[in-house]
Amino acid sequence: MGNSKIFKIIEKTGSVKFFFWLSIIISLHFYIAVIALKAGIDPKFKTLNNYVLIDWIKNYGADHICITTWIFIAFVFVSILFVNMFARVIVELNNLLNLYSKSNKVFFIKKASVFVIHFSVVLFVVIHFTSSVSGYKSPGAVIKEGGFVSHPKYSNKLKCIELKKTADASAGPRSAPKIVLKDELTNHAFAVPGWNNGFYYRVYADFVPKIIKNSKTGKERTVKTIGLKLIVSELNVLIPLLFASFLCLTGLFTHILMKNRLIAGEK
Amino acid sequence: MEYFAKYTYFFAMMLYASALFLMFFKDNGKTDKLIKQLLITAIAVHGVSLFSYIILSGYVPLHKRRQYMIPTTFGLSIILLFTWTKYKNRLLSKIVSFTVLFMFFCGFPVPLPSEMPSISCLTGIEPFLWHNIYNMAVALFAYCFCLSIAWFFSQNKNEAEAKSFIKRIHNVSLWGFVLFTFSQAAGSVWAIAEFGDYWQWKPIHLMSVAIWMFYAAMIHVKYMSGFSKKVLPLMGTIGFACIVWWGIYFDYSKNIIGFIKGVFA
Repeated sequence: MGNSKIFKIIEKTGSVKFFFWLSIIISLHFYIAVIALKAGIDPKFKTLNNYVLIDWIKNYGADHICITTWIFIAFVFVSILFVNMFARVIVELNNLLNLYSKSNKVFFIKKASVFVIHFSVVLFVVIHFTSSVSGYKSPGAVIKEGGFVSHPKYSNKLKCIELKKTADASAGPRSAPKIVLKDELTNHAFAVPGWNNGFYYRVYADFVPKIIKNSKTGKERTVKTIGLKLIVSELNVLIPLLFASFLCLTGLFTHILMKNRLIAGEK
Repeated sequence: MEYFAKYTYFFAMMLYASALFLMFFKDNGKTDKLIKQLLITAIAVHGVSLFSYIILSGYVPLHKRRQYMIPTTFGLSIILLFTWTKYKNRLLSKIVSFTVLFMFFCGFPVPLPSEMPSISCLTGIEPFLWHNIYNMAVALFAYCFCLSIAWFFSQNKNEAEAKSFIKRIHNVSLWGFVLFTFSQAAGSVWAIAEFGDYWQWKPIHLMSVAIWMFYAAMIHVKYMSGFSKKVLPLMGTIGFACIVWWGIYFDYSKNIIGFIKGVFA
Protein backbone atom coordinates (compact mmCIF):
# COMPACT_ATOMS: atom_id res chain seq x y z
CA MET A 1 0.00 0.00 0.00
CA GLY A 2 2.75 2.35 1.14
CA ASN A 3 4.86 1.38 -1.85
CA SER A 4 2.07 2.07 -4.34
CA LYS A 5 1.51 5.49 -2.73
CA ILE A 6 5.19 6.32 -3.09
CA PHE A 7 5.13 5.09 -6.68
CA LYS A 8 2.13 7.29 -7.44
CA ILE A 9 4.05 10.30 -6.10
CA ILE A 10 7.05 9.34 -8.26
CA GLU A 11 4.75 8.97 -11.28
CA LYS A 12 3.27 12.43 -10.71
CA THR A 13 6.72 13.97 -10.23
CA GLY A 14 7.89 12.44 -13.49
CA SER A 15 4.74 13.26 -15.45
CA VAL A 16 4.93 14.44 -19.06
CA LYS A 17 2.71 17.45 -18.33
CA PHE A 18 5.07 18.60 -15.59
CA PHE A 19 8.02 18.22 -17.96
CA PHE A 20 6.19 20.13 -20.70
CA TRP A 21 5.52 23.22 -18.58
CA LEU A 22 8.94 23.07 -16.98
CA SER A 23 10.77 22.95 -20.29
CA ILE A 24 8.68 25.82 -21.69
CA ILE A 25 9.58 27.91 -18.62
CA ILE A 26 13.30 27.00 -18.91
CA SER A 27 13.22 27.82 -22.61
CA LEU A 28 11.63 31.21 -21.89
CA HIS A 29 14.11 31.88 -19.08
CA PHE A 30 17.08 31.27 -21.39
CA TYR A 31 15.47 33.24 -24.23
CA ILE A 32 15.04 36.25 -21.94
CA ALA A 33 18.75 35.97 -21.09
CA VAL A 34 19.64 35.92 -24.80
CA ILE A 35 17.64 39.10 -25.40
CA ALA A 36 19.06 40.77 -22.30
CA LEU A 37 22.60 39.85 -23.34
CA LYS A 38 22.10 41.11 -26.86
CA ALA A 39 20.61 44.34 -25.55
CA GLY A 40 23.79 44.72 -23.47
CA ILE A 41 22.05 44.87 -20.09
CA ASP A 42 25.09 43.61 -18.16
CA PRO A 43 28.36 43.31 -20.13
CA LYS A 44 29.94 41.53 -17.13
CA PHE A 45 27.99 38.39 -18.10
CA LYS A 46 30.87 37.33 -20.32
CA THR A 47 33.30 37.27 -17.38
CA LEU A 48 31.47 34.08 -16.34
CA ASN A 49 33.59 32.33 -18.99
CA ASN A 50 36.77 33.02 -17.04
CA TYR A 51 35.71 31.29 -13.84
CA VAL A 52 34.16 28.06 -12.67
CA LEU A 53 30.56 29.08 -11.98
CA ILE A 54 30.76 28.59 -8.21
CA ASP A 55 33.95 30.73 -8.01
CA TRP A 56 32.32 33.54 -10.01
CA ILE A 57 29.31 33.59 -7.67
CA LYS A 58 31.60 33.67 -4.62
CA ASN A 59 33.75 36.51 -5.98
CA TYR A 60 31.40 38.65 -8.06
CA GLY A 61 27.88 37.39 -7.34
CA ALA A 62 27.02 40.19 -4.92
CA ASP A 63 28.17 42.92 -7.35
CA HIS A 64 26.04 41.63 -10.22
CA ILE A 65 22.77 40.85 -8.54
CA CYS A 66 20.83 40.65 -11.82
CA ILE A 67 23.05 37.89 -13.24
CA THR A 68 23.20 36.06 -9.90
CA THR A 69 19.40 36.06 -9.65
CA TRP A 70 19.13 34.76 -13.21
CA ILE A 71 21.65 31.98 -12.46
CA PHE A 72 19.86 31.11 -9.21
CA ILE A 73 16.47 30.84 -10.96
CA ALA A 74 18.05 28.75 -13.76
CA PHE A 75 19.60 26.50 -11.10
CA VAL A 76 16.22 26.02 -9.37
CA PHE A 77 14.48 25.17 -12.67
CA VAL A 78 17.20 22.76 -13.80
CA SER A 79 17.17 21.10 -10.36
CA ILE A 80 13.41 20.57 -10.67
CA LEU A 81 14.00 19.23 -14.20
CA PHE A 82 16.56 16.81 -12.76
CA VAL A 83 14.02 15.57 -10.18
CA ASN A 84 11.36 15.23 -12.91
CA MET A 85 13.75 13.30 -15.17
CA PHE A 86 15.01 11.10 -12.36
CA ALA A 87 11.43 10.21 -11.40
CA ARG A 88 10.67 9.48 -15.07
CA VAL A 89 13.69 7.18 -15.27
CA ILE A 90 12.45 5.23 -12.22
CA VAL A 91 8.93 4.92 -13.68
CA GLU A 92 10.31 3.76 -17.03
CA LEU A 93 12.65 1.25 -15.42
CA ASN A 94 9.69 -0.18 -13.53
CA ASN A 95 7.65 -0.34 -16.76
CA LEU A 96 10.52 -2.07 -18.52
CA LEU A 97 10.80 -4.71 -15.80
CA ASN A 98 7.06 -5.35 -16.06
CA LEU A 99 7.14 -5.47 -19.84
CA TYR A 100 10.10 -7.85 -20.06
CA SER A 101 8.90 -11.24 -21.37
CA LYS A 102 5.31 -9.93 -21.63
CA SER A 103 5.45 -7.72 -24.71
CA ASN A 104 6.94 -8.18 -28.16
CA LYS A 105 10.59 -7.41 -28.81
CA VAL A 106 10.10 -4.27 -30.95
CA PHE A 107 7.78 -2.65 -28.40
CA PHE A 108 10.20 -3.50 -25.59
CA ILE A 109 13.17 -1.97 -27.46
CA LYS A 110 11.11 1.16 -28.18
CA LYS A 111 10.33 1.53 -24.47
CA ALA A 112 13.96 0.83 -23.58
CA SER A 113 15.09 3.57 -25.97
CA VAL A 114 12.83 6.09 -24.18
CA PHE A 115 14.43 5.02 -20.88
CA VAL A 116 17.93 5.49 -22.37
CA ILE A 117 17.10 9.01 -23.70
CA HIS A 118 15.78 10.20 -20.33
CA PHE A 119 18.65 8.55 -18.48
CA SER A 120 21.14 10.39 -20.73
CA VAL A 121 19.46 13.73 -19.91
CA VAL A 122 19.91 12.95 -16.20
CA LEU A 123 23.59 12.26 -16.95
CA PHE A 124 23.94 15.57 -18.88
CA VAL A 125 22.56 17.52 -15.92
CA VAL A 126 24.92 15.71 -13.49
CA ILE A 127 27.96 16.29 -15.76
CA HIS A 128 27.16 19.97 -16.21
CA PHE A 129 26.53 20.47 -12.50
CA THR A 130 29.80 18.72 -11.58
CA SER A 131 31.84 20.78 -14.03
CA SER A 132 30.18 23.98 -12.75
CA VAL A 133 31.05 23.45 -9.11
CA SER A 134 34.36 21.60 -9.24
CA GLY A 135 37.79 22.43 -10.56
CA TYR A 136 39.55 25.69 -11.19
CA LYS A 137 39.78 28.11 -14.11
CA SER A 138 42.69 30.51 -14.27
CA PRO A 139 41.09 33.87 -15.09
CA GLY A 140 44.21 35.98 -15.62
CA ALA A 141 47.38 33.99 -16.10
CA VAL A 142 48.21 33.28 -19.72
CA ILE A 143 50.37 30.22 -20.42
CA LYS A 144 53.73 31.14 -21.98
CA GLU A 145 56.73 29.01 -22.74
CA GLY A 146 59.18 29.27 -19.84
CA GLY A 147 56.51 30.81 -17.61
CA PHE A 148 54.99 29.35 -14.44
CA VAL A 149 51.41 28.51 -13.69
CA SER A 150 49.81 27.41 -10.45
CA HIS A 151 46.37 26.75 -9.06
CA PRO A 152 44.98 26.82 -5.54
CA LYS A 153 44.27 23.08 -5.46
CA TYR A 154 47.94 22.10 -5.84
CA SER A 155 50.83 23.78 -4.04
CA ASN A 156 53.64 22.88 -6.50
CA LYS A 157 54.50 25.32 -9.25
CA LEU A 158 54.22 24.13 -12.83
CA LYS A 159 56.59 25.34 -15.51
CA CYS A 160 55.56 25.43 -19.13
CA ILE A 161 58.50 23.78 -20.89
CA GLU A 162 56.90 23.51 -24.30
CA LEU A 163 54.18 25.45 -26.08
CA LYS A 164 53.86 24.77 -29.74
CA LYS A 165 51.03 26.15 -31.74
CA THR A 166 50.12 23.53 -34.29
CA ALA A 167 52.66 22.75 -37.02
CA ASP A 168 50.12 23.66 -39.66
CA ALA A 169 50.17 27.47 -39.73
CA SER A 170 46.96 27.63 -41.74
CA ALA A 171 45.09 25.87 -38.94
CA GLY A 172 44.81 29.21 -37.15
CA PRO A 173 45.50 30.56 -33.70
CA ARG A 174 42.62 28.81 -31.99
CA SER A 175 43.46 25.26 -33.02
CA ALA A 176 44.66 22.88 -30.31
CA PRO A 177 48.33 23.57 -29.45
CA LYS A 178 50.89 21.19 -27.96
CA ILE A 179 51.66 22.09 -24.35
CA VAL A 180 53.99 20.36 -21.86
CA LEU A 181 54.07 21.36 -18.19
CA LYS A 182 56.72 20.27 -15.68
CA ASP A 183 56.12 19.90 -11.95
CA GLU A 184 58.98 21.91 -10.43
CA LEU A 185 59.15 19.83 -7.24
CA THR A 186 58.80 16.31 -8.62
CA ASN A 187 60.34 17.08 -12.04
CA HIS A 188 57.49 15.18 -13.65
CA ALA A 189 56.62 16.48 -17.13
CA PHE A 190 53.18 15.91 -18.59
CA ALA A 191 51.30 16.92 -21.72
CA VAL A 192 48.22 19.12 -21.59
CA PRO A 193 45.44 18.01 -21.85
CA GLY A 194 46.39 15.27 -19.42
CA TRP A 195 46.47 14.04 -15.83
CA ASN A 196 48.94 14.96 -13.09
CA ASN A 197 48.60 14.00 -9.41
CA GLY A 198 44.87 13.36 -9.58
CA PHE A 199 44.04 16.53 -11.53
CA TYR A 200 43.05 16.78 -15.17
CA TYR A 201 44.70 19.74 -16.91
CA ARG A 202 43.42 21.36 -20.08
CA VAL A 203 43.50 24.83 -21.59
CA TYR A 204 40.91 27.20 -22.92
CA ALA A 205 41.28 30.03 -25.40
CA ASP A 206 40.39 33.54 -24.28
CA PHE A 207 40.81 37.07 -25.59
CA VAL A 208 43.64 38.87 -23.78
CA PRO A 209 44.74 42.47 -24.15
CA LYS A 210 48.19 43.12 -25.64
CA ILE A 211 49.95 46.48 -25.77
CA ILE A 212 51.54 47.27 -29.13
CA LYS A 213 53.95 50.16 -29.56
CA ASN A 214 54.06 51.99 -32.86
CA SER A 215 57.73 52.13 -33.91
CA LYS A 216 57.28 55.41 -35.79
CA THR A 217 55.08 57.48 -33.51
CA GLY A 218 55.93 55.70 -30.26
CA LYS A 219 52.26 55.60 -29.37
CA GLU A 220 50.95 52.57 -27.50
CA ARG A 221 47.65 50.91 -28.24
CA THR A 222 45.90 47.87 -26.84
CA VAL A 223 44.79 45.08 -29.17
CA LYS A 224 42.95 41.85 -28.47
CA THR A 225 44.84 38.59 -29.01
CA ILE A 226 44.15 34.99 -28.15
CA GLY A 227 45.72 33.68 -24.95
CA LEU A 228 45.70 30.17 -23.52
CA LYS A 229 44.58 29.77 -19.92
CA LEU A 230 44.49 26.81 -17.59
CA ILE A 231 41.50 24.71 -16.48
CA VAL A 232 42.05 22.15 -13.74
CA SER A 233 39.49 19.64 -12.59
CA GLU A 234 39.21 16.33 -10.78
CA LEU A 235 37.12 14.97 -13.63
CA ASN A 236 37.73 14.77 -17.36
CA VAL A 237 34.28 15.72 -18.64
CA LEU A 238 35.04 14.62 -22.20
CA ILE A 239 34.55 10.90 -21.52
CA PRO A 240 31.28 11.21 -19.51
CA LEU A 241 30.03 13.73 -22.08
CA LEU A 242 30.86 11.34 -24.93
CA PHE A 243 29.12 8.53 -23.07
CA ALA A 244 25.97 10.59 -22.38
CA SER A 245 25.89 11.85 -25.99
CA PHE A 246 26.26 8.31 -27.28
CA LEU A 247 23.40 7.11 -25.05
CA CYS A 248 21.15 10.01 -26.03
CA LEU A 249 21.70 9.66 -29.77
CA THR A 250 21.46 5.85 -29.74
CA GLY A 251 18.21 6.17 -27.81
CA LEU A 252 16.77 8.78 -30.18
CA PHE A 253 17.64 6.87 -33.37
CA THR A 254 16.49 3.52 -31.94
CA HIS A 255 13.22 5.13 -30.85
CA ILE A 256 12.47 6.44 -34.34
CA LEU A 257 13.49 3.14 -35.94
CA MET A 258 11.29 1.06 -33.62
CA LYS A 259 8.39 3.51 -33.94
CA ASN A 260 8.48 3.15 -37.74
CA ARG A 261 8.69 -0.65 -37.42
CA LEU A 262 5.65 -0.69 -35.14
CA ILE A 263 3.71 1.51 -37.59
CA ALA A 264 4.76 -0.77 -40.47
CA GLY A 265 3.70 -3.80 -38.40
CA GLU A 266 0.25 -2.29 -37.73
CA LYS A 267 -0.23 -1.68 -41.45
CA MET B 1 34.30 34.40 -58.56
CA GLU B 2 33.29 36.26 -55.38
CA TYR B 3 30.36 37.95 -57.10
CA PHE B 4 29.52 34.73 -58.91
CA ALA B 5 28.81 33.05 -55.53
CA LYS B 6 26.67 35.94 -54.33
CA TYR B 7 24.69 36.55 -57.50
CA THR B 8 23.99 32.89 -58.26
CA TYR B 9 22.30 32.88 -54.85
CA PHE B 10 20.23 35.90 -55.89
CA PHE B 11 19.44 34.22 -59.22
CA ALA B 12 18.26 31.06 -57.41
CA MET B 13 15.96 33.23 -55.28
CA MET B 14 14.53 34.82 -58.43
CA LEU B 15 13.77 31.35 -59.77
CA TYR B 16 12.01 30.41 -56.51
CA ALA B 17 10.05 33.69 -56.73
CA SER B 18 9.01 32.84 -60.32
CA ALA B 19 7.85 29.38 -59.17
CA LEU B 20 5.89 31.01 -56.35
CA PHE B 21 4.36 33.48 -58.81
CA LEU B 22 3.21 30.60 -61.04
CA MET B 23 1.85 28.70 -58.01
CA PHE B 24 -0.26 31.71 -57.03
CA PHE B 25 -1.39 33.14 -60.34
CA LYS B 26 -1.13 30.42 -62.98
CA ASP B 27 -2.21 27.42 -60.96
CA ASN B 28 -4.26 25.65 -63.64
CA GLY B 29 -2.58 22.24 -63.78
CA LYS B 30 -0.81 23.02 -67.03
CA THR B 31 2.06 24.80 -65.29
CA ASP B 32 2.88 21.91 -62.91
CA LYS B 33 5.71 20.64 -65.06
CA LEU B 34 7.13 24.12 -65.57
CA ILE B 35 7.06 24.80 -61.83
CA LYS B 36 8.85 21.51 -61.21
CA GLN B 37 11.54 22.41 -63.77
CA LEU B 38 11.89 25.87 -62.26
CA LEU B 39 12.34 24.41 -58.78
CA ILE B 40 14.95 21.87 -59.96
CA THR B 41 16.88 24.63 -61.76
CA ALA B 42 16.66 26.89 -58.71
CA ILE B 43 17.98 24.13 -56.44
CA ALA B 44 20.84 23.42 -58.86
CA VAL B 45 21.79 27.12 -59.05
CA HIS B 46 21.43 27.45 -55.27
CA GLY B 47 23.69 24.39 -54.84
CA VAL B 48 26.35 25.92 -57.10
CA SER B 49 26.20 29.13 -55.05
CA LEU B 50 26.51 27.26 -51.73
CA PHE B 51 29.40 25.20 -53.09
CA SER B 52 31.17 28.38 -54.27
CA TYR B 53 30.74 29.93 -50.82
CA ILE B 54 32.25 26.84 -49.18
CA ILE B 55 35.18 26.71 -51.61
CA LEU B 56 35.94 30.45 -51.43
CA SER B 57 35.56 30.99 -47.70
CA GLY B 58 36.79 27.55 -46.64
CA TYR B 59 33.84 26.61 -44.46
CA VAL B 60 30.05 26.29 -44.40
CA PRO B 61 28.51 29.77 -44.14
CA LEU B 62 27.23 29.67 -40.59
CA HIS B 63 29.25 31.83 -38.26
CA LYS B 64 27.34 35.04 -38.87
CA ARG B 65 23.63 34.57 -38.52
CA ARG B 66 22.82 36.14 -41.89
CA GLN B 67 25.05 33.61 -43.64
CA TYR B 68 23.34 30.51 -42.36
CA MET B 69 20.30 31.46 -44.37
CA ILE B 70 22.19 30.25 -47.50
CA PRO B 71 22.47 26.55 -46.47
CA THR B 72 19.18 26.58 -44.52
CA THR B 73 17.17 27.91 -47.47
CA PHE B 74 18.91 25.23 -49.57
CA GLY B 75 17.64 22.49 -47.21
CA LEU B 76 14.15 23.98 -47.21
CA SER B 77 14.07 24.25 -51.00
CA ILE B 78 14.79 20.51 -51.31
CA ILE B 79 11.80 19.96 -49.01
CA LEU B 80 9.84 22.32 -51.29
CA LEU B 81 10.57 20.09 -54.29
CA PHE B 82 9.23 17.13 -52.29
CA THR B 83 6.05 18.92 -51.26
CA TRP B 84 5.41 19.88 -54.88
CA THR B 85 6.30 16.61 -56.64
CA LYS B 86 5.71 13.87 -54.07
CA TYR B 87 3.03 15.17 -51.68
CA LYS B 88 1.49 17.33 -54.42
CA ASN B 89 0.16 19.68 -51.79
CA ARG B 90 -0.35 23.12 -53.34
CA LEU B 91 -1.11 25.03 -50.15
CA LEU B 92 1.94 23.63 -48.38
CA SER B 93 4.19 24.25 -51.42
CA LYS B 94 3.09 27.89 -51.54
CA ILE B 95 3.84 28.35 -47.83
CA VAL B 96 7.24 26.60 -48.11
CA SER B 97 8.33 28.68 -51.11
CA PHE B 98 7.10 31.82 -49.36
CA THR B 99 9.20 30.84 -46.30
CA VAL B 100 12.29 30.27 -48.50
CA LEU B 101 11.93 33.81 -49.86
CA PHE B 102 11.15 35.20 -46.42
CA MET B 103 14.37 33.65 -45.08
CA PHE B 104 16.26 35.11 -48.01
CA PHE B 105 14.99 38.59 -47.09
CA CYS B 106 15.84 37.94 -43.44
CA GLY B 107 19.43 37.22 -44.42
CA PHE B 108 19.65 40.17 -46.79
CA PRO B 109 22.19 41.55 -47.70
CA VAL B 110 24.22 38.36 -47.96
CA PRO B 111 27.94 39.16 -47.70
CA LEU B 112 30.57 38.16 -50.22
CA PRO B 113 32.65 35.10 -49.25
CA SER B 114 35.66 37.35 -48.56
CA GLU B 115 33.57 39.54 -46.25
CA MET B 116 32.86 36.57 -44.03
CA PRO B 117 35.21 36.49 -41.03
CA SER B 118 38.02 33.97 -41.38
CA ILE B 119 37.61 31.36 -38.68
CA SER B 120 40.28 28.88 -39.48
CA CYS B 121 39.36 26.41 -36.75
CA LEU B 122 36.02 25.85 -38.50
CA THR B 123 37.65 24.45 -41.62
CA GLY B 124 38.04 20.83 -40.46
CA ILE B 125 35.77 17.97 -41.41
CA GLU B 126 34.10 17.77 -37.95
CA PRO B 127 32.78 21.37 -37.94
CA PHE B 128 31.69 20.87 -41.54
CA LEU B 129 29.70 17.81 -40.48
CA TRP B 130 27.95 19.23 -37.43
CA HIS B 131 27.34 22.63 -39.06
CA ASN B 132 25.48 20.91 -41.87
CA ILE B 133 23.52 18.74 -39.46
CA TYR B 134 22.60 21.92 -37.59
CA ASN B 135 21.47 23.46 -40.89
CA MET B 136 19.35 20.41 -41.64
CA ALA B 137 17.74 20.69 -38.19
CA VAL B 138 16.91 24.38 -38.76
CA ALA B 139 15.52 23.53 -42.22
CA LEU B 140 13.27 20.92 -40.58
CA PHE B 141 12.14 23.44 -37.97
CA ALA B 142 11.35 25.79 -40.86
CA TYR B 143 9.32 23.02 -42.53
CA CYS B 144 7.57 22.42 -39.21
CA PHE B 145 6.67 26.13 -39.22
CA CYS B 146 5.26 25.80 -42.77
CA LEU B 147 3.18 22.77 -41.78
CA SER B 148 1.86 24.69 -38.78
CA ILE B 149 0.82 27.66 -40.93
CA ALA B 150 -0.76 25.24 -43.42
CA TRP B 151 -2.71 23.66 -40.56
CA PHE B 152 -4.14 27.07 -39.56
CA PHE B 153 -5.33 27.58 -43.14
CA SER B 154 -6.84 24.13 -43.57
CA GLN B 155 -8.35 23.40 -40.13
CA ASN B 156 -11.84 24.60 -41.02
CA LYS B 157 -11.77 23.59 -44.69
CA ASN B 158 -10.31 20.10 -44.87
CA GLU B 159 -10.30 18.12 -41.65
CA ALA B 160 -8.49 15.07 -43.06
CA GLU B 161 -5.71 17.25 -44.41
CA ALA B 162 -5.46 19.14 -41.11
CA LYS B 163 -5.11 15.82 -39.28
CA SER B 164 -2.32 14.71 -41.59
CA PHE B 165 -0.56 18.06 -40.98
CA ILE B 166 -0.69 17.52 -37.21
CA LYS B 167 0.86 14.07 -37.60
CA ARG B 168 3.56 15.45 -39.86
CA ILE B 169 4.30 18.39 -37.52
CA HIS B 170 5.05 15.88 -34.77
CA ASN B 171 7.25 13.69 -36.97
CA VAL B 172 9.16 16.61 -38.49
CA SER B 173 9.76 18.26 -35.11
CA LEU B 174 10.98 14.90 -33.78
CA TRP B 175 13.48 14.57 -36.65
CA GLY B 176 14.51 18.20 -36.26
CA PHE B 177 15.03 17.61 -32.54
CA VAL B 178 17.13 14.48 -33.19
CA LEU B 179 19.37 16.29 -35.70
CA PHE B 180 19.63 19.35 -33.48
CA THR B 181 20.68 17.14 -30.53
CA PHE B 182 23.23 15.39 -32.73
CA SER B 183 24.73 18.70 -33.89
CA GLN B 184 24.92 20.01 -30.31
CA ALA B 185 26.45 16.81 -28.94
CA ALA B 186 29.03 16.64 -31.75
CA GLY B 187 29.71 20.37 -31.37
CA SER B 188 30.26 20.01 -27.60
CA VAL B 189 32.76 17.19 -27.98
CA TRP B 190 34.55 19.12 -30.72
CA ALA B 191 34.57 22.30 -28.59
CA ILE B 192 36.23 20.48 -25.67
CA ALA B 193 38.96 19.22 -27.97
CA GLU B 194 39.38 22.61 -29.66
CA PHE B 195 38.65 25.27 -27.02
CA GLY B 196 39.05 23.28 -23.78
CA ASP B 197 35.43 23.71 -22.75
CA TYR B 198 32.04 22.73 -24.15
CA TRP B 199 30.07 25.55 -22.54
CA GLN B 200 30.49 29.28 -23.00
CA TRP B 201 28.34 31.95 -21.42
CA LYS B 202 27.34 33.61 -24.65
CA PRO B 203 24.03 34.18 -26.48
CA ILE B 204 24.40 31.38 -29.02
CA HIS B 205 24.86 28.71 -26.32
CA LEU B 206 21.98 30.04 -24.25
CA MET B 207 19.88 30.10 -27.41
CA SER B 208 20.77 26.45 -28.12
CA VAL B 209 19.43 25.47 -24.68
CA ALA B 210 16.27 27.51 -25.28
CA ILE B 211 15.67 25.84 -28.68
CA TRP B 212 16.44 22.36 -27.35
CA MET B 213 14.08 22.71 -24.37
CA PHE B 214 11.34 24.22 -26.53
CA TYR B 215 11.37 21.42 -29.11
CA ALA B 216 11.76 18.81 -26.36
CA ALA B 217 8.47 20.15 -24.94
CA MET B 218 6.94 20.12 -28.42
CA ILE B 219 7.64 16.44 -29.09
CA HIS B 220 5.94 15.55 -25.79
CA VAL B 221 2.63 17.27 -26.70
CA LYS B 222 1.45 14.10 -28.46
CA TYR B 223 1.64 12.14 -25.20
CA MET B 224 -0.49 14.57 -23.20
CA SER B 225 -4.23 14.54 -22.87
CA GLY B 226 -6.55 17.50 -22.40
CA PHE B 227 -4.64 19.85 -24.66
CA SER B 228 -6.17 21.75 -27.55
CA LYS B 229 -5.09 20.51 -30.98
CA LYS B 230 -3.94 24.05 -31.68
CA VAL B 231 -0.98 23.65 -29.29
CA LEU B 232 1.30 21.75 -31.68
CA PRO B 233 0.90 24.11 -34.69
CA LEU B 234 1.15 27.11 -32.37
CA MET B 235 4.43 25.81 -30.96
CA GLY B 236 5.72 25.04 -34.46
CA THR B 237 5.05 28.64 -35.45
CA ILE B 238 6.45 30.26 -32.29
CA GLY B 239 9.57 28.05 -32.22
CA PHE B 240 10.77 28.94 -35.69
CA ALA B 241 9.68 32.58 -35.36
CA CYS B 242 11.92 32.84 -32.28
CA ILE B 243 14.88 31.27 -34.16
CA VAL B 244 14.51 33.72 -37.05
CA TRP B 245 13.79 36.69 -34.78
CA TRP B 246 16.93 36.14 -32.69
CA GLY B 247 18.91 35.67 -35.89
CA ILE B 248 17.92 38.90 -37.57
CA TYR B 249 16.33 41.27 -35.10
CA PHE B 250 19.48 42.63 -33.51
CA ASP B 251 21.26 43.18 -36.80
CA TYR B 252 18.26 45.06 -38.17
CA SER B 253 17.49 46.93 -34.97
CA LYS B 254 21.11 48.14 -34.94
CA ASN B 255 20.75 49.27 -38.55
CA ILE B 256 17.45 51.03 -37.84
CA ILE B 257 18.79 52.74 -34.69
CA GLY B 258 21.93 53.74 -36.64
CA PHE B 259 19.76 55.09 -39.45
CA ILE B 260 17.57 57.13 -37.06
CA LYS B 261 20.65 58.48 -35.26
CA GLY B 262 22.12 59.44 -38.65
CA VAL B 263 18.94 61.30 -39.65
CA PHE B 264 18.73 63.29 -36.42
CA ALA B 265 22.45 63.89 -35.99
